[in-house]
Amino acid sequence: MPDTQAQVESITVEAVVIRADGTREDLGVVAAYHRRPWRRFLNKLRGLGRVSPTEE
Amino acid sequence: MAFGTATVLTNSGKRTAADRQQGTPTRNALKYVAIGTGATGAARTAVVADTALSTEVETRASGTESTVTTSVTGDTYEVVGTITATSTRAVDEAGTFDASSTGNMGVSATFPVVNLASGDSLQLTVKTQFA
Repeated sequence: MPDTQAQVESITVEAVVIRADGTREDLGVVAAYHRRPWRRFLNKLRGLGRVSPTEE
Repeated sequence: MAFGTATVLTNSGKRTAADRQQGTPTRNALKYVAIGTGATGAARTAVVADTALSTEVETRASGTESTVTTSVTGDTYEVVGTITATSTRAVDEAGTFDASSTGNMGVSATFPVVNLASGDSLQLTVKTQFA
C-alpha cells in the first residue's frame, strides 16, 4: 500500500563558519536524520558528523 | 546517555507542525535559530523529548524562512540563521525555536564541536523535509 501519511522524511543541519576576516569554511551537513534506516546507515558510512571544514 | 550526533523534530515541534495547519495557528513559526556549547559536557544526544539546549549561548538569530524542494515541489521547510560569537565558543548543539528567547523548540541537534573565535559567525541551515 502506498505511503500516504504525512511524516518527517528527513532533517538536516548544515553549517558554514564565517571567520572574522571573512573566510568561509563550509562544514556541510553536521547532523542529519532520515526516516529510512538504510539512508541513516549510508549517512554513517559517509562519516556524517565528523566535522572537517572545506575552505571556499 | 552519551553524547552523540543526532537531529530530531521534537515532540513540541510535531505539535507546532500540526498546529500550523490551522487557519489561525496558535503557535509561531520555528524560525529562531539557537546554538549551544553544553551537549558534550552534559553527555546529551538530541532526542524528541528535548525542550531546550543544554547550554544556550549568544542571541538567537531570526532566521530566513522558505520552502524548498527535496523530492516533491516545496516539501521542505528551510530556515537559515547566522549567529556571531561574542567570545570563544565550542558549539556542539543547535535548535530552532518559535521565539527569540525561551519559547517552544522545533528541531534539536547535537554534533561534533565547531570552534568559533570571538567575531566568527556560524551560519546554520535547518531543513525539515515532509514525506
